[in-house]
Amino acid sequence: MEFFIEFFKTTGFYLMTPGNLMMIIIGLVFIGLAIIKHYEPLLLLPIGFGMIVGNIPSIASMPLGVYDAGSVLNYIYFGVTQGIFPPLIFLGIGAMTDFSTMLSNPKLILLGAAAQIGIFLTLIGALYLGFTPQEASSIGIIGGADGPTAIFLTAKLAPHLLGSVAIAAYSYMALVPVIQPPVMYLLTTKKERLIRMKPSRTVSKREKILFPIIAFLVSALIVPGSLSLIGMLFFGNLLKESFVTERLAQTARTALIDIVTILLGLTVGASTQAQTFLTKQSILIFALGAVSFAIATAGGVLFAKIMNLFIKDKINPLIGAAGVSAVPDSARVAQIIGQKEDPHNHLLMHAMAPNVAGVVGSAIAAGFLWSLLVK
Amino acid sequence: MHILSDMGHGWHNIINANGISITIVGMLLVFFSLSIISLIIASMPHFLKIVERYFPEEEEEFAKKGVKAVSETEVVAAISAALCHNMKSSN
Repeated sequence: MEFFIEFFKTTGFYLMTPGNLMMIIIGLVFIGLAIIKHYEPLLLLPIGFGMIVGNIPSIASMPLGVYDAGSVLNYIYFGVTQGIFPPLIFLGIGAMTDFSTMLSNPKLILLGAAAQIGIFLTLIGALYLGFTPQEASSIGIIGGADGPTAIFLTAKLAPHLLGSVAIAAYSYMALVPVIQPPVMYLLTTKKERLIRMKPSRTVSKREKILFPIIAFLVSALIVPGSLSLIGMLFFGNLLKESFVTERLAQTARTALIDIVTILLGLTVGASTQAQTFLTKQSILIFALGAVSFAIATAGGVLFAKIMNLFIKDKINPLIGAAGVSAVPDSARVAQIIGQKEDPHNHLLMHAMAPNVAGVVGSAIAAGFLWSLLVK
Repeated sequence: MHILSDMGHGWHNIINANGISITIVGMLLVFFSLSIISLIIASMPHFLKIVERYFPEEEEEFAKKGVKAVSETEVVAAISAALCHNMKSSN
């Protein structure tokens, strides 16, 4: 009997805290959202399951969790803490991204720049609340709406916030269709939402090949801190556009990115152990993340309106919201809202331009913050 | 946990951490980088026109050899016409 009691004390039932239970329920909600509502299932499902895995309590002498040296999860989590996984995801993103719309209408790139205001204004907000500059930068980058970038910067500047920032970033990416529309409606008139944009011109093969090389050189020379993310993004794109490395591009955009997404999602989820995750700090990070996202959306929309004051071919300001780099969700939101006003107005391709520019913009912002604040 | 850390909080913390300067320089840098990329992209077609004079793309090589470049629509139209003709003659 004594033997049984001793064993029972090592089980999850005995060691479970209310916090662990709460996190397991949140994990189940994530899985539910992924399966039932189809909200970012590729991310929310691994993260949700990881949350459950990470909150099964175990005795201290058994290395099982992501924070226990020598555990399997700890070895996989190494790719997150050392910032290895995010550039690999960027390689896959590059290999699946078509920059044609951006190349055909280069002025739309500026919308991707404007949306990065969310990152920097949230940084100020986080500093106001008492976070250190490193922590504030990691929180602000959530507004870039780019999970890998947020993880990369947080791993470099404030690794103790990794779980909260990653969960906030991915949750808000999944909630793009919920967060963005109110801001877009609030800042645009019906007349503006009805604006039809000129069809894009055809982009030559040579332009597509030259673009990743030139854009990489410009970005990396101005902000070397963005080299790992931007370098992998444009390398992946060159693999795709060169047409001579189709096999490599195919691997990067399918098997490689899928494997990394599984490992990253699962371990980031598992890093949300109740003892480290359920804190006042996490709640503040979630609140600031939402604000950051809303500001980024507003920044893109308002900048499109400002641009319209000076240009002949008007831009539908809805596509400014796609300046946050949640690809392609925010572009899809612009398309849906645009079609609610005019079912024959197709904004998706136009919105993809600021969308992919936002990916580059947020990586540049992350590189700048890393260069500036690294200790 | 660094909330209400040694640096304090409120405007004092923003000023101590150079929050405003980071924001202004950061935004300028993002705009500058993307503007440069935008300008290069905008000028690329003009540059490529000059390059194409000396190193034409493959499609144009075909044109020089007398092979007419046709669009997908033309191909579909030709196939449809052939099918129609075939069906009529079999009837």
